[in-house]
Amino acid sequence: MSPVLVATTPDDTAVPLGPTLSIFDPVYIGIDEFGHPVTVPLIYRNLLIGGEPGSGKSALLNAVVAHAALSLDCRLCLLDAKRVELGQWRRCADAFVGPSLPDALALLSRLQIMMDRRYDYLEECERRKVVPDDRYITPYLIALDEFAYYSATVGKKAQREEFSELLRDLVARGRAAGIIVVAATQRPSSDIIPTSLRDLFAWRFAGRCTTDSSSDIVLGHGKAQQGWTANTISPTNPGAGLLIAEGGTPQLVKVAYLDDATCAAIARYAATLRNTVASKPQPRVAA
Amino acid sequence: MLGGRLFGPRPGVITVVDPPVSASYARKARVAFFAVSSVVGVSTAAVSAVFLHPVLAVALGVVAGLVCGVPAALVTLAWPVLRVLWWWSFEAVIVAFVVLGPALLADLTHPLLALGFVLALAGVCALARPVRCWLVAWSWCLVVRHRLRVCFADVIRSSATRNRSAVLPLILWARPTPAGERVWVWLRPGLDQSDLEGKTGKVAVSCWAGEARIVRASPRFAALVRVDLTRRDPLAGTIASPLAVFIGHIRNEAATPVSPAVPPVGLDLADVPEVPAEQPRGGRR
Ligand SMILES: Nc1ncnc2c1ncn2[C@@H]1O[C@H](COP(=O)(O)OP(=O)(O)OP(=O)(O)O)[C@@H](O)[C@H]1O
Ligand SMILES: [Mg+2]
Repeated sequence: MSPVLVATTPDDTAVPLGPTLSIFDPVYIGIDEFGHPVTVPLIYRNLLIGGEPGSGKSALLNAVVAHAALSLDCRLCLLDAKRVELGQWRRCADAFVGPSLPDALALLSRLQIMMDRRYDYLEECERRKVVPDDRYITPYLIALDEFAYYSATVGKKAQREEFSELLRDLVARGRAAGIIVVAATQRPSSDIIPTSLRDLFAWRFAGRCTTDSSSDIVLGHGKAQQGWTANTISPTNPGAGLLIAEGGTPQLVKVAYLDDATCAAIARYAATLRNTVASKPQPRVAA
Repeated sequence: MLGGRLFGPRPGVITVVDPPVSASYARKARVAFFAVSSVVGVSTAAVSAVFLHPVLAVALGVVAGLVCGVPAALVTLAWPVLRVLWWWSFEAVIVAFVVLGPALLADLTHPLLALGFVLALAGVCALARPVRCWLVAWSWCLVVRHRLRVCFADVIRSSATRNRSAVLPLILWARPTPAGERVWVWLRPGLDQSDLEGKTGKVAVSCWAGEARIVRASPRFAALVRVDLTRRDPLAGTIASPLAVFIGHIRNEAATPVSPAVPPVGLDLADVPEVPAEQPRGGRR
């Protein structure tokens, strides 16, 4: 199913490390209402996750981050105002920002500079986007939980606006430079996330919402009118929600759940893998 | 539904309320008669004129035209009835099997043997869970086809002021899904998907389902739509991620740390001093 990473020790013996994934593979999300597996390609895309408290947003974010953490061709930047939702992946990530708006701003500015440099590089190479097995450019997954904390809760108004603007730039221009933004927030209304930013997210996931209009805010205007409303999802069924990905029409999916122990085990494994690769500069990937 | 007013308004009778369906079929029958009889008649006459005397050829053409035109007109006129028969044909076949099968069996063997066989079959159907589920699932598909037709007829009637020419869609095929049923429908001129938008609630009600979804089924044909009916929730259980299996072998390697370096102090409200130091406004909205 996936390539097995092989490390070479100093005396030139190959040690198989374990299976890895690729961020260029579609990410397994869960099953649809007909029992079929649902996978979503995330490279060159952005995902917006909404839904009422407890609807399973962080669980989906964890599923995405788990895939990315196991993909050695992807780097992670995590922003989690609650700290615990993505905290397990801290050791796999290049950067982890807790509930601190200045730190978040600093990280996003650095990412913006990185993005500009990547475009300089791509321009020099006469290329238009990152490709699998790119030698110098690895995709970045920016996972953002509790978006509203940074964009509408703490800090000064100017800072919060700067946060939204930086993120909008990353979402708008980052696609070809391999920057994937996955953001989760409870109700992405215009006071939380500017409409100009919200509409840039191609892919949406709406966990249960309390009203039809909340569901429309996540999925796009008029979806409730067409019969797609996350209001009909049972409140006792966290992880179920409407997903808009390929195909464009929403589909009802249930997100696969990683419990805390599994998450921790995967995170530890991924961290070990990443450390090994970082210390041994020439890992070979055997099919 | 349509059988009652099969034969259209009689000549000379002026109807106040226009019975659109039967009148249109009477008109169609007339058109079919003239079209078929003239085409067949003229071509027969033309071809036979090569071999026969022209008068004979014309007579032959008239006869052939009548012979073909009258059945065509009758079929068109009776089309509403034939259509209903077609709609119920599957059920009719099943009933025929259920009634005739045991009778035939009793005739061929001993009646008691036939009775035993029928009872055994019924027992298997009722008691074996997979068989029962299969039967129930496919029975719902039969029911849903009829309910959908009723529903579409209703949609057409309610939009009759806008387009009186709409034709009932063809219900193509229905099959069970873990959640309910999935039906493919071929829309005919006068209806499109936007007519059905916002009617999903009505569709669900008339199909006795929990929810209905109507999506376009083919990028090529706007007429082909798919109706998904949901009556069960297959998403209620927890789905395990394949990633857990993927790295299963390292799962038990070490226990998750339970107590981090932080001492568990100050976790109750009583442990927090009454007037807290100046802090940014935290928490959620
Ligand atoms: N896919 C799932 N399958 C089964 N249970 C789930 C699933 N997703 C979430 N849950 C359950 O629901 C609980 C809440 O989920 P989660 O923390 O993801 O919600 P949330 O939407 O992030 O909430 P909040 O808005 O408070 O952050 C989880 O602790 C878990 O028990
Ligand atoms: Mg959460």
